[in-house]
Amino acid sequence: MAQTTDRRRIVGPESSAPPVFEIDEQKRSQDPPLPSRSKRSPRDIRPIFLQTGLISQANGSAYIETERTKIACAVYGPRQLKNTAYSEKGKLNVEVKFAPFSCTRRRAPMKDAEDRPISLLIAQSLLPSIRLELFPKSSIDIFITVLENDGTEGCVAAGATAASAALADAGIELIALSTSCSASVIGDGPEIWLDPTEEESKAARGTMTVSYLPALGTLTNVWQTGKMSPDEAMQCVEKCVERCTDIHHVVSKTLLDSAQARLGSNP
Amino acid sequence: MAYVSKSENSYITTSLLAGIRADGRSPTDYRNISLEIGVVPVANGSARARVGETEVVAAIKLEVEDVGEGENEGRDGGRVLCHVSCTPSAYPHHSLSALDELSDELSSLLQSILSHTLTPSEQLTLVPGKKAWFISLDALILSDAGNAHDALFIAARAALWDLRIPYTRGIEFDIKDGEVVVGDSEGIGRMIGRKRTVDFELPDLLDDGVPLEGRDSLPVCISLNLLPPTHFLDASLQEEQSVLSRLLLFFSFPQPSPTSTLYGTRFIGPNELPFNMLKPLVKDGEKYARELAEALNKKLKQEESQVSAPMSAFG
Repeated sequence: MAQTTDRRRIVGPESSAPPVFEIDEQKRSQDPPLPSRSKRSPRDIRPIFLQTGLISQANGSAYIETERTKIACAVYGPRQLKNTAYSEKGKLNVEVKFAPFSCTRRRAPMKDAEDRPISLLIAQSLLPSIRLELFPKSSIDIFITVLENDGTEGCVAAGATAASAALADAGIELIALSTSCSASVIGDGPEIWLDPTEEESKAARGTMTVSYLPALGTLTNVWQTGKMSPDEAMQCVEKCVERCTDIHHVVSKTLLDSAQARLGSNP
Repeated sequence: MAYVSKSENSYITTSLLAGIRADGRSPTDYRNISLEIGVVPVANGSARARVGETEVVAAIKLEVEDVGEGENEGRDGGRVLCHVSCTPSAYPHHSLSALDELSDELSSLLQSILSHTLTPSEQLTLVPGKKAWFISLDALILSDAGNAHDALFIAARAALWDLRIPYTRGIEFDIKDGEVVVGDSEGIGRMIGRKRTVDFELPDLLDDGVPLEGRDSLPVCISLNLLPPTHFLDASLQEEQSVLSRLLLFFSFPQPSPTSTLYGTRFIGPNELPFNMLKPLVKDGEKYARELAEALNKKLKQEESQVSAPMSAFG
C-alpha cells in the first residue's frame, strides 16, 4: 500500500533547476571585481603564529597559522632506510596531506592530484638546507597536514617554513633555516601584493613563491606560475626575500622560546 | 640510468668549469634539434622532437565539452589537460612507481605552464556559457639522453603549432513577436541585435580548421644547468647526473613587441642558488630562449610549407 500516490496532489518533475533571470545572466557575465586590500598594505604579510613541539610522538614538529592557513608538520628521523640499495646521502621524504575539510569543496581523503606537486615544492625548499651527507643509509620523513587551506602559494610557503622549524626542532643539522614567502602580480599597474590569499591569487596575473636562507643569502626554491615580465618577477623575488628575513626572526624566536621552555622543564 | 662515479663526476665538472664538454660543444650550444609535425594522423595536432638522442612525441586531441562549474567540466575560454608519460624504454633502471612519480612531476609542470598560456581564449569558446573546446595534450618520452624538459616543451609547442581547430559557426535564434527566428552568427541574429548563440554547427569546408591564435609566441623551456660560477645548456645524460641543480625558465615572446613574458620559473636541485646570481641568469636565459624560439618558429614554418605543399596540388 505504500506505493499508492495521492492523485489529488500535483507531482513535480523529478529534477529541477532554479530559473535563470536575464539580470542574473548579465551580472554573471561581468568580471568579478578585483579584491581590494583594505586591511593590510601590499607589502604586508599575514601575521604568523608558529609553535614547535606540538606532536609529542614525532622527533620534531611545528604548527603554523597565518590567518586562514593552518598547517601541522611532523618530522621523523633520521631513521634507517630498509629494503633499499645503499645510499651515501640521506633521503628526504615530504608528504603533504589535505584534511578533507581543509578547502571550500570537500577533498576526498584518498590520493588526489594536488598533493604531490606541493610535496615536491616543499621538498625543494628544504633540500639544499639539510646536511644530508651526514645521514648515509637513512631517511628523514616529513609529514605535513593542511588543516585549513587559503591558497596554494600560501600553503607552500607556510608549509616550507613550518617544516624547516620542525627540522630544527628535531635536532637535524641544517646549514641555515629556510623561510618562504609568496607574492602575486595583480592588474596591469602592476601591483605586487605579498602573501596572497586564495581569492587574491585567483585574481592575480602571476604568482611567485620564494624560499630563502636568510643566514646565507641564498635561494633554495623559486617557483613562479602565471604571466609576468622578467622585471616583475625580479621585483617579486626581491620583495619576498626581504620578508623572508622578517619571517626568519619569527622562526628563530620560536625555536629559542621552545628551547628555553625545554631547559626550564628539565634542568 | 648510467651511474656516474665520483671520479667521473669530478672529471666532468672540472672540464665543464673550463668550458669543455665531452662532445665538443660550447657551454651554450644545443645538440642537434630535429622536429617533425603531423606525425600522428588521427590527432588534431602532433609533433615529434629530438634533441640529440632525447626523443619526445606529443599529440593533441580536441573535444567539445559542456561548460559547467565542476572540476571535470568545461570552462568558457576552453580547458587544457596535459599528461606526460615516461616510457619504461626511456628509463630502464627506474621502478614503475618512480616512473609514475616522474610522469606526474612533468605532467603538472606542463599543465601549469600551458593552462596559463592557452586559456582563457576566445578561440576556444564555442557557445558562450554552454560549449567550449577541451584540449588534451599527451606527450610520450620515448628516450631520455638528458634535457628531457626542453625536449618536452619543444614537442608540446610544435604539436600546438600543428593543431587545427575545426571551423565552427554559431546558430542563433531569437523570439520576435512569438515567432522563432533562426540564423547563424553572421545572419539574422545580428540584424535583430539581441542575439544569443545556442548551438553550433560544423560547416562543410575544404580546409580542416584554423591554427591556434598566437602560436608563434608559445613559451619555450630553457634549462640552465647551474655550476657556479657558470652555467651551461642542454646537458647530456652524464652531465645531468654530475650537475644536479638547474633553473627552468619558461619564456614567451609576443610577436610584434620586443618584450618577453615569463610563464614560469622553477628551481630544481640539492644546491642553493646565491640570490645575486638569479638576475643575470634570467637575463641570459631570456637571450637563449629568444634564439631558440626564433629558430623553432623558422623551422616550423618551413616544415608546415613542406607538409601542405602536396595537399594543395589536390585543391
